[in-house]
Amino acid sequence: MDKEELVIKLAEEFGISSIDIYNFVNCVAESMGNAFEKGKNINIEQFGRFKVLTRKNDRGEEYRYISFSPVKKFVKDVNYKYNDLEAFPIDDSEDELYEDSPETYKGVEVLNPDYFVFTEKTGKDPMSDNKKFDDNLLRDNFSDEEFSQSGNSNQERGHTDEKKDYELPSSIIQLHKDITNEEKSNISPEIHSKKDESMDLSEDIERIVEERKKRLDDITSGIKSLEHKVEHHEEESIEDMSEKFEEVRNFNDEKNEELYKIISERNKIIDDINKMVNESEIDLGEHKTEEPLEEPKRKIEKNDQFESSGPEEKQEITEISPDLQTEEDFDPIVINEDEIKKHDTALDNQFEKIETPEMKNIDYKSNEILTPEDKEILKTGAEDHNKIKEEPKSFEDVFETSGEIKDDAVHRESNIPPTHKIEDKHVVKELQPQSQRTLDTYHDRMEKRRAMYENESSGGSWKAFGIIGVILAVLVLLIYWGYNSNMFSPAPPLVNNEQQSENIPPPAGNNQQHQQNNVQDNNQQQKITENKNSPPLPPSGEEYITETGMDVVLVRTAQGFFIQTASFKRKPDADREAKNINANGKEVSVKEADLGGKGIYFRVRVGTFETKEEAIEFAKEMN
Amino acid sequence: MNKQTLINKAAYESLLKKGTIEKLFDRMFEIIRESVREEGKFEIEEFGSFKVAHKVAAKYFDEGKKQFVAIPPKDKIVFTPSQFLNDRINKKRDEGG
Repeated sequence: MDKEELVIKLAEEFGISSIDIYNFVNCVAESMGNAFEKGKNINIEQFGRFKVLTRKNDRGEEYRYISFSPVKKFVKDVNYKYNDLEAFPIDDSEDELYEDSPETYKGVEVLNPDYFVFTEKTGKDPMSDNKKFDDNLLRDNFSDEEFSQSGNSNQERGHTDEKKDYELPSSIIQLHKDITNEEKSNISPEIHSKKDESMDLSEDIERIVEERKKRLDDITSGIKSLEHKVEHHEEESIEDMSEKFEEVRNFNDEKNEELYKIISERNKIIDDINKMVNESEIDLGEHKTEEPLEEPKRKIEKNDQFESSGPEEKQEITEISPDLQTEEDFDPIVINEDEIKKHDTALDNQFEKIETPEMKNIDYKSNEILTPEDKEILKTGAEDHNKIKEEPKSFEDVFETSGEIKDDAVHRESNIPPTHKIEDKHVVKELQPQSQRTLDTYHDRMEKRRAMYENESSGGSWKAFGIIGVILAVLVLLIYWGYNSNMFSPAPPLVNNEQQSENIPPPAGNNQQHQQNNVQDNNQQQKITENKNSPPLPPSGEEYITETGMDVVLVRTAQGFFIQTASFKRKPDADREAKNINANGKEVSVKEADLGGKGIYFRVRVGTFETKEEAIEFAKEMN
Repeated sequence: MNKQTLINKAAYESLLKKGTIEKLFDRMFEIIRESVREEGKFEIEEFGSFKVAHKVAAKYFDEGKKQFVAIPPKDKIVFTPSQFLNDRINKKRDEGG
């Protein structure tokens, strides 16, 4: 922007004459210059600061200069592109500092400062100057004479200027020509003669091709002329069309003649081909004529069968339906209106006569038209009709004659045996055993499979029921055993014998005498009648019997009767006594018994006895 | 020297009012800033010219940190006084005249 533009812009904005503003701008500039001349600094708000500084010249002379430091706002406005960028460190060596390759700073080129000093001075890239220098060097190496010679030689031969540098010298070309002439002279004359013959043949071929091309051109030109005529006639008036239709007709006739010729030729060719083909077939026909003749024979046989079956059907139909009559046998129906009227009046009179109070109660509007007799007839008819429908189609009916299914519809309507398949039975009977065998095997297999399936299904169910029943039985037995045993109930109270043994454990030798005394006392006190019929055992499973008349206690269990000689609180005492007993072959056992708060007792028992009397006798012998 | 002294001197020499001169003074430097920002150049023949010098991004060796630093590019504002003013500062004009 210049001073004039600034003045115009201010004048437009403020509406003041440009002369005043011009004077104002000059006044400001002069006043600032006067200040700088005096060596004063100027500070302008929102613009910058001007300073007058001194500096030394290369010659050592001092001179003053003005430095301008703009305001930050002014700098940011100018550097609106680069305000966001900041300096960042780079990990590079010193060698790379002096490379010519530029690097990027976030999309901006980062270059060596020395490189730009060079570019700022010249205003051009250093590499572009080197290229020019190289071109000059190349041109200086060539002399002017060589350029002139090459130019003259190329102009004579008519080559383009582009290929000047790549052209061979004349001496080499002459050498090449000499070599080629020597090779041609050395070649034998036979080869030359062959080459001439080949050239003659090629000429003939070219002639033929040219002639054909001429023919094609003639044909195309003629067709185009004719087509042009046809198109030209259509555009003209109708008056002249009568003369020109003939031309068109002639043109069409010519085309048609050509077509007829072509078609006739094609037909001839086709006839010839057919003749040739027929001759070839006749030569080979003796072997092949049998096959095509068999097919019509078969057809004829089938037709004969159907024809033979046709009249038989008609005969049987007459036999089945003898009641049918021809039209001549029927009496023609003649209707007279008078007779109808008479009939109606007679019916009316009947209803009038027959009217009774019982008849009045009948609802004529009801739909019960059928009598019970009619209903019975209909039921029987319906049953017969259902019987006919429910006849099952067994496999034997289907496979009676052949492996294929019959046309049942035809035979049921006509009730005719399949006459036309009787002959086929001879063929099919051979196949019957196979088919029947397959059917028998099929039925047998199916029956076996069904039986197996039923057995499996039933067996599986009965197994499950059996398992459940066994489990229930086991549970019942366990509960019964546990009810009878000590599991669910505490042990019965002890006999007095044990209570005495707690306090005074007697020695082994005097045990029997001590027990005898006690038992005698107990027998005198307790006199209980004995039930020979074994009563049910208590829940503990043991019953003590003390009225034996002996100094021994009997124990009744499910296994049998035991003789309990003694009971001890220590096991070695019990074992000691078990050894000393004269059991006479019977077993001697020591049994534990928990009595709750009283503790554990070890009872010495002798064998098993089936009855009470045996046990008593054995006890007497022991003593 | 201050902005206010310049305004007073201009008001003394010109026929305009002081208020309008203040507005003109502010507006004149705004236009200079806009022209420098948009065109990169503003010139008054007798006084001098403001220009924008593009400083390309460069790579320097910071001896304090002993590390290479990449400096972003920058547009630097430069004031070059005219020959008339430069002579006037250095009093060559008086010698010649």
